Amino acid sequence: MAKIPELAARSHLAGVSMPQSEGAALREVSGRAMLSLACHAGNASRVARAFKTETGVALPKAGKTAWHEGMLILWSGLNQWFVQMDKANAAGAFAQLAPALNGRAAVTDQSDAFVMLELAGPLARETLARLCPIDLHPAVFKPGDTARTLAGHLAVQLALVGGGETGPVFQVLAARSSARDLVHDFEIAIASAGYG
Amino acid sequence: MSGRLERGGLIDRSKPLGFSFDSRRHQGYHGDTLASALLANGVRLVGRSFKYHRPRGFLSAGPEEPNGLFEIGEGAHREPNTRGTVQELYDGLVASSQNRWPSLRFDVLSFNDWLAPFLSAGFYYKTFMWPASFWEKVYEPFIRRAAGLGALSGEPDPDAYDHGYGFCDILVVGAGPAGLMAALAAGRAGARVIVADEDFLPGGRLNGEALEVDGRPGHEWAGEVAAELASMPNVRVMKRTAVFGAYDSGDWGLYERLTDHLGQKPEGIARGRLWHVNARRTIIACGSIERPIAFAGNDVPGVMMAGAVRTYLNRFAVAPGKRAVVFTNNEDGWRTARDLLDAGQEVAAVVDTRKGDRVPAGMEAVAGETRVAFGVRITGVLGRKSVRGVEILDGDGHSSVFAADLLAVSGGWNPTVHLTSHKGAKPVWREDIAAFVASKDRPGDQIIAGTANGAFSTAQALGEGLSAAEQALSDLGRKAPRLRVPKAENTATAIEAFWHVGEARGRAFIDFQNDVTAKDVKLAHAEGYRAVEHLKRYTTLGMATDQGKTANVTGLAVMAELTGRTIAETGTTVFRPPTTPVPIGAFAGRAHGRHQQPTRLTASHDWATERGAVFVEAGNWLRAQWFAQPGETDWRQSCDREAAAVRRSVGVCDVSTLGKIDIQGPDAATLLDRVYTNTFSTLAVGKARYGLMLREDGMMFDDGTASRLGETHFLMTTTTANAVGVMRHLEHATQVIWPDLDVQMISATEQWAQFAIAGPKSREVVARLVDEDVSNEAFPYMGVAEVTVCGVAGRLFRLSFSGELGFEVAVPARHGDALIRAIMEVGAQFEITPYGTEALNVLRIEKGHVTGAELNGQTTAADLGFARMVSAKKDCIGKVMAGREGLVDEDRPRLAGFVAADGQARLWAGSHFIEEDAPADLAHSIGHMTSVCYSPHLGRYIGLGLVRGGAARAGDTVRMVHPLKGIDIAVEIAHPVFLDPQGERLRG
Repeated sequence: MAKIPELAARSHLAGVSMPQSEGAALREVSGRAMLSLACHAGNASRVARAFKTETGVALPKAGKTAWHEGMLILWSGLNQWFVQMDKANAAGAFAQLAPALNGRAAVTDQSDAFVMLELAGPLARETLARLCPIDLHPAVFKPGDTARTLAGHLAVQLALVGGGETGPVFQVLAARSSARDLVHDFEIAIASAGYG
Repeated sequence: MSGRLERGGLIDRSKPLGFSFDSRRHQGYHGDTLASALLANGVRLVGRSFKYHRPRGFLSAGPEEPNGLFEIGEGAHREPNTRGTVQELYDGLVASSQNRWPSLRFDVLSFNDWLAPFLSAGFYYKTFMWPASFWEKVYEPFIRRAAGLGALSGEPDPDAYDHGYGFCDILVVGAGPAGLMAALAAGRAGARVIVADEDFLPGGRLNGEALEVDGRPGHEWAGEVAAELASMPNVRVMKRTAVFGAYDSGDWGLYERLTDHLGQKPEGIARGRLWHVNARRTIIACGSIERPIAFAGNDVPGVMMAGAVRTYLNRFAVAPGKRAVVFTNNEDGWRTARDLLDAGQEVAAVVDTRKGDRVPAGMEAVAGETRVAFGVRITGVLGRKSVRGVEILDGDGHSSVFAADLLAVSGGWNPTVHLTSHKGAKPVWREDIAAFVASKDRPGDQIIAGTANGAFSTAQALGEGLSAAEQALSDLGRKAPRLRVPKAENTATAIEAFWHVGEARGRAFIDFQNDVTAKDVKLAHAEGYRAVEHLKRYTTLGMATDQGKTANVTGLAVMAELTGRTIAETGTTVFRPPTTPVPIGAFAGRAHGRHQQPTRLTASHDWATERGAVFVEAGNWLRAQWFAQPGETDWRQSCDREAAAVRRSVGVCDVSTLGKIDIQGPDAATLLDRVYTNTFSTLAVGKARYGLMLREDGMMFDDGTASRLGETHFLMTTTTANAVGVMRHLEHATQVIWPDLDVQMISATEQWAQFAIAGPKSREVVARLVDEDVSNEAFPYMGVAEVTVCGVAGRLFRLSFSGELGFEVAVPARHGDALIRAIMEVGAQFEITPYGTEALNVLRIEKGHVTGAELNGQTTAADLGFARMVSAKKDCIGKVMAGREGLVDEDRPRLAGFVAADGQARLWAGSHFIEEDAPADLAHSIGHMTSVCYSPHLGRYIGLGLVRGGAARAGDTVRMVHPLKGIDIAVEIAHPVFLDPQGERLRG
């Protein structure tokens, strides 16, 4: 039977214009995969060792992230992490990890469950302070920190993934289905960030 | 500009601003408030009072203002009850007076004032008693028209409001001398500081007084400190920001006005911002409010607080009158006389209620230039729309009259203690300063400083600000910087409490905004109201938009006099947030209109929109309800066509919204056995099973399928509406009930786009999409497999909700849009038809499947015909409670199908079932219709419902009664499965 061509990928934010100002800009990060990794009972240290052996990077502690050769790992709960990597490398990386984690951790593909956004710019913290009820002061929320919190009425996971002269870069993970609402919230927050 | 002084003031005379009041054009300057600009233009009558429509002018110069309320702006932007003393002037400002008709000067309803003897406290309660039916139709509309403040535009609020979250070590409330000193010390110590002040110019009283700090004008010192604070990266100075409420754990509510002061509102900027600030320590330095004295005529325009007169003189260079009398019970009033004289104004007399003929230190010059009287009180005010003279009564009983157009009154100052008592600590009375101060029982993170703490001199305020910062810094383990308290005046107010001129003839107002007089308080007392809370509610004292900021203490002092108790014994009413009016829109923030809740969209949403889908909200999701085709004018046409297409050939429906929970771990099967009524541990890998969940109380909770993807790996599906609830239920089960279970769960709802492909031709469509063999032999009913869908790793389920041969195809959500288009493409030769939730509903009713209408929280598994699905071999959540006597009663209404006895009549959900010979009333109801539809397949209406006896009574006739629609027809009870009861279609 005639098969139709391979299914194309389409972002849930396709065609949605991303808000930006001199102070802060939002952009979607595409082409990344993300796995959830959750340890089975009593397996946390075995999982940590296996993960370090296979990837060369340790799983981060609570509230922290780790970055290693294109792989970003975010702590996401007690003995749980999100592991992000380029989509192209994901199958290979997972195939390498799978035997080591087999029976020790639950692995679930979450690549499409979230939209991955980046908010960057000198007013990025001020923008997030319009939406998120957590303290994002540089002395409190430092590079490499992550937190599960709210942005408006949507659940998000934030991570401070970069920074420099152009200001901090936050990764914002949010549920795919309501991502257009989140972008709308950012639109208002970015416009308002430098004001008042 | 008759009231504007030649020089001075913190206004920018190079920036004149035009504005209008009741359509008359006026001019003011940048730095003016609407109040100061109106006074500068000689406008003294600015409003009509709430109940008596008395002419009123400004009483104060600050946020406590009870009288000077305006409607600002036009059209939908019109904002009623705006305080003229807070509203900054901008070019083009349009202000209107309120509560008057036809005009401010000639107000028809001012006859209420002459009816005042009849309109005393409790008037409405006593008068409009009967007939009761008149209340809503006659009395209330009349009273609402007669009594009131400003009017809303009646249009939706066009403004946007913003939210903000702030965190700091030290929150400083108020930027007066105490607050600035505290913020300076805390800021220099490197602490994270937020300073919030309601005013647009930091400095507090320093801006309104002719006082020096360190030998310079006080406002200059304030300006310098504010500038230093603004330059510190660790300090945020928030102007135009009111701290309106104290909440738990150091949380504070703040409202920042962003654009109310601008003529040209910047595009895209919210009008105001509601802040939720968490502070480790809070220094409350929000000052004090001068209180009036109750005497006859104390509300005539031109009677003003003495401190307000100084503010108008010093800050705004406005003389609120030409010839003043000062009425005081403390030293402070004398300052007003001095400042008036220094500004070249005439002062007719200083009338001091205190005995002893002692001219305050430093006021000798005042005594030299004007008449001074001690032990004297004011018994009357001449004039109605403006003060013309003042009648005084001396200690010997002699009356005399002074011509004057301004009466400056100082009854002492009330520390602003509201924030300190929001969490329950009652303020305590201090006899030495005749004022309430914050209780020591207040939360430990609150430190009070300055006049808010009863420290009334500038030197005291500065000193307390510094020590408050030192205390806060020490609490936080920080070192305080070396700072010197600047030199400033340090005179005691030497108040001798004086509340009320007993000799008054005529009305002596206590609460100006709600028109409550000393006589009303007396009447409340005479009628038996003793508790202050009762006094407040009976007289409405303190219940207006100003919350009685100028009235409360005087009211309860008069009450204390009457009851013979002390003020301390009388106590205060409860203070609650917000301390100052906050727009309701600010609380809503962005969450209004379409954004009141988040909207969840499926991956096929844009495609469905292109296809003309009409959407319905399900949970937060938008689901296609039906797809209107050209020519279809009624939803039923679309629905019938879609349902028929599924039965005839093939249809496709997005089912991504169903909850999906990925469950893994050695104990995954055990968990499912415990939360579902039926057994899942026996389910083979690669198979799905339908399951029922009960609530702890034994009622049906949710239903869905669970698929076994591996020995220790399940995928559970839930109904769309209950997805979050089921996840919460499972988390509760694994975290609280059985923490020993080794199970990991994560929601996979968002990960997958999933489409039901149903109908006799569905296999042919699916076969063209997936690489694997989907024949009945290879992939039988209830099969589950990981497959390749057009080159993408996906999942295939052999499930059917419609009763037809059916599949569900799932791919990662990013491919959902492409998949639905691919399905339509390969299905075109079979005339594949997209169907929405309406057709889905028809298909499931035809098949006797239950949904939320039947799982309504009041039905058990047995009620819905699932008794055999509750495994006898194991326990599960809800099983024990489902065995309760009332829940196993044979007479409970149970699921059955229904058709009209005449075969044609329309059925109505919500109708009650009544036996043929019984009266049609609730007592004889034997159940109700839960779901109905027109079945295009059967060509008639069919229904599902709960009826006593259930489907066992198939063939019996009962009545379907819908009293609201006047329907009472015979219906026949049927088996609930109208279509293919043997299930041959779905297994084919």
